[in-house]
Amino acid sequence: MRPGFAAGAIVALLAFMVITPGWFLPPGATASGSLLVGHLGEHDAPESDCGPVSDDPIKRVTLVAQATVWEVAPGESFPTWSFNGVIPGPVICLREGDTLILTLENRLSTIASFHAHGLAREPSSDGTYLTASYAPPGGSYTYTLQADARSVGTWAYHDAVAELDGGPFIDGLSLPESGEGIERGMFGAIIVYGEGELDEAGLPAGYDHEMVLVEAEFESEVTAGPVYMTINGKIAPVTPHYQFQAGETVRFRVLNVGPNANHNLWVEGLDWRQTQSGAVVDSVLFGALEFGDFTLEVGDEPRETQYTCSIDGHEEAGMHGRFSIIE
Amino acid sequence: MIQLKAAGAALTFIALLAFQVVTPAYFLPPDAVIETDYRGHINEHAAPELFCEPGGSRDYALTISEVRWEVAPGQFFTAWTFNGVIPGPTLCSYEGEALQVEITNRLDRAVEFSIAPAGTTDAVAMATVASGETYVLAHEALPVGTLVYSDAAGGIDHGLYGAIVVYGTDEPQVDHDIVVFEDEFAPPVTDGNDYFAVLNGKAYPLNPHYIFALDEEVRFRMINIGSELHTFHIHGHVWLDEAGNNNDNEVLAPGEAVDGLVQMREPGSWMYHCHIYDHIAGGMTSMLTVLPAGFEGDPVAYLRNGGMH
Repeated sequence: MRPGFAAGAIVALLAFMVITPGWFLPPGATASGSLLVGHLGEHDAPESDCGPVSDDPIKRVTLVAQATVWEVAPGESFPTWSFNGVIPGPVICLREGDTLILTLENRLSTIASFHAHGLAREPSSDGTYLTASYAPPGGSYTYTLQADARSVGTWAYHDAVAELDGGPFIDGLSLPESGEGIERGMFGAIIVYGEGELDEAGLPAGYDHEMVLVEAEFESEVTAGPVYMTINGKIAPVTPHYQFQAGETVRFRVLNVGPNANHNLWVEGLDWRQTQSGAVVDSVLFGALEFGDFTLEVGDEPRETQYTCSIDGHEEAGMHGRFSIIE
Repeated sequence: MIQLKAAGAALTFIALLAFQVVTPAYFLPPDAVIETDYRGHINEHAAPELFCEPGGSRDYALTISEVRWEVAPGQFFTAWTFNGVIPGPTLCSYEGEALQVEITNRLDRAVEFSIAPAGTTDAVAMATVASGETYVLAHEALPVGTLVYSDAAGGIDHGLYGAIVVYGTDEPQVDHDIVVFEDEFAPPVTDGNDYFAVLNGKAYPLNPHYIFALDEEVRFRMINIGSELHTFHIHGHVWLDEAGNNNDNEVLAPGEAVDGLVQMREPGSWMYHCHIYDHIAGGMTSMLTVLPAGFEGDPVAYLRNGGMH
């Protein structure tokens, strides 16, 4: 092939991409860049961020602590840290009674750890500096945790030791847990399903959709720019665009991973029912590292609305998104 | 003669200064020993550890005074205290019992002594105690549960608070009963510019290090007495919270109080802390040790010698 032809083809292809961007977007993405999630077409099985949860009682997961340039919105990126290159990290889905064997590979120049909420463990799997349960730079560490009856619910995992200067921060210092990793994006969700919460296919029983929604703030020290108030690692307009069919029942697993701020969640005209206690609230308020599990009946009226955190300044800093109820 | 004396004084002063420059260590206090505040399962005890035994005296005396409060190692500020400590001593009674508190105010201001159920501002008893005065407050029967006594006239920010525990007659038995006050001390209270986020009045590592035996059941009476939201997270342990959820990080709005019944299910030394990282940086973190199965001996000596680390 002549070089001139190849160059011409590339130019033509680029021009076509610029003119018709929608043609090249992955399915589920909309032209504005927000990921459309929820009811996307015909489906006779529940849709869940976990997918079918296997019934193997041993779940093996590998997480890679790594440097990542994170695009919080088109054209807005900052160098930071993540698990597996995504913020939040992958959802870890377990059944009550499961054992989680998690290997952390550390490609950062600082120590890094996996600290889980909600799961039973020995100190050697706590992911703290005091218990030396962390992976050195370039090394790895394996954690063993159990999902017991007390573990059923929604939890976060996060790093608890990483520090920007790479040194062990505790020497000569009086603080036994570092927030640097979680401030930079090293967090994710854990879901533990109790007896009867999954159907035979391993999908959430009794719901049409199950969604994980993670609220977090990125401070200026991290972004070297503005403060970003994020949903699933993104700011509006590229936060998830939720779409549900009128009459559907949706389970929302909501996490505030802070690391410092309170966040809430509010959808105009909809109530949140706390799944375990049954308490009904119109806005969900969370302190740092508070997690909740809510049932949302989206109602029978098709409409376009939005979800938002209504705490002062958070919506303006990106913490909102589209919420559509379709016929 | 006066000139000579002045010259002599000046020479002595210079000599002293020179001595201080040459031998600075001579003028420094001896190396500070950080005394860890161990609490909980310290010695053998056959009965549950409660704040008071049934049938004892319910007469208490509280003296309100200024103290230099060591909030973090080597860091002091002038606090207002009940009996010299923050929080003040935990008072205790049983359902239906009369309780009497003799309050002596050694501050140069009046104190509005108030008792209210924790998590509320609905005072069940109140008394103004003028500067230098002593007042005896008697109450026939306080409501069952956790109550907070404090100065309702602005003294809480300076450390004027404590708890009263009133046990019900059919109270479920626990092995240990613990009051945890969460709070902040911020300028101008802290004299300088320092900010401290504290557990029971102290920043790490001066705040309580709890010790429990394996499988013991512990009631934490968590009280946020500060003006910021706090959380209470224990590593390695999950409990059923008051709302009926599995929880390992209770969130308390300012003024809120929540009980958590936690079973010590995993041996080891664990961190407990507020999960707001700005507050961890302010000292709001500490340790909790669950002794190994069948442990015998002195747990404090065991921990001091590096056990469980």
